[in-house]
Amino acid sequence: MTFWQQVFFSVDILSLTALMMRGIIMYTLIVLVTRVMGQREVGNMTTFDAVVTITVGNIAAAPMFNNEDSVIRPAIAIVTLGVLHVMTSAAGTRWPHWRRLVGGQPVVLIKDGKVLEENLRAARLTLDDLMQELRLKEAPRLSDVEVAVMEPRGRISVIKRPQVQPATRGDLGLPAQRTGLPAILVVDGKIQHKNLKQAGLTEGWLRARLRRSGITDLKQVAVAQVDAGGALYVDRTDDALAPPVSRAKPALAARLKKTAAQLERFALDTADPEARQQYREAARRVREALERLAPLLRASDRFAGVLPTPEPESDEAKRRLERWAPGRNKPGEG
Amino acid sequence: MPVGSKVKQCLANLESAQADLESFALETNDQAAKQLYAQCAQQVKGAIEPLKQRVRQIEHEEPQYRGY
Repeated sequence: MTFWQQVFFSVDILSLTALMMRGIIMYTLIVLVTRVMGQREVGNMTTFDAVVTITVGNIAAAPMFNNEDSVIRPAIAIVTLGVLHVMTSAAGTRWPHWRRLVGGQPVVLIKDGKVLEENLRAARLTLDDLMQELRLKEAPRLSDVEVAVMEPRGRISVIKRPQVQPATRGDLGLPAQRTGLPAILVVDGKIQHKNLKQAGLTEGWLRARLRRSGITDLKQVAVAQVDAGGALYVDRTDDALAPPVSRAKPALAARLKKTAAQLERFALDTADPEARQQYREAARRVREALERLAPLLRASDRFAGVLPTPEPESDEAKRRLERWAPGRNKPGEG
Repeated sequence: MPVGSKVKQCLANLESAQADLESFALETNDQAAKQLYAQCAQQVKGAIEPLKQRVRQIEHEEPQYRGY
């Protein structure tokens, strides 16, 4: 009994290697046939798809371990099923009647908030099933549902009444910018030239943009992504140490400074001595607040919670910090 | 003399700065910084008060700027 005879035909004793060979053959066959049959995922199959797939699996299983089965006959059965399935599907795309016969058709379950009990029964669904699906689709109130349809693939699609649908940018008359498909330009420091070209950008542009955000070495870039608007997002390899610094605090300092200057200007402009006094007083208070805040607003706390707060540079700053925030810079800490 | 609206703008700036300071005070976990932010918010509030008074005076003197 030769090796290949053992592999392909019904035999009394099956050697280990022949058994493994059968496994390899059936596996390859299944992969090929399922590829040809289409690439729908399991959750997205029609009942018909599912039945054919399971049948193919069943046929393929036995000869892989059973010495009394031959491989040839199941293989022929599988190929036949595969070809038939492809032909039925192809026929479905051409003739709608055939498609409805084989693949089933959508069943309307709710129309204008009214449950169509007859169709529910025809789809063999209970009201509980329907309510469960509605809850999952975030439309638990029947009156909020305009249409609910049982699709041929077994899912239920729910269309809510416009009153309970969230407003879109179009509804609000807001400008809508095209998002397009964002492209990844750099991965692990390597420029993705294909994506760069597809996005209509050049390496020179990319390098210039990176330099502008303080990156000179591509190795510092973990990921760089560009959106359709040309905005570049960069994730650095060392981001655990240097998270993006918030601009809120420097902005606040600038705003306070500007207000103080304005107040001083008002004080100069006004002719009324009382008003001048009021403006001066307000400006003084703002300046004072600004001075107190200086150590906090300047030393942007990019390391807050990660590293100890840096020492204030001058003795003056230290004294101020001690005055307004006692215990912050005890000797030996920091 | 569009001083009235300018002063009001200034007042609005200060009020938003005060709100920022208060929110920083809430956000930070550092007790000392929290205290400092809160104190400065109070300080800015101290600047807001005389300015509000001033706005009232301007409105009284020049009613055409009321509501700007």
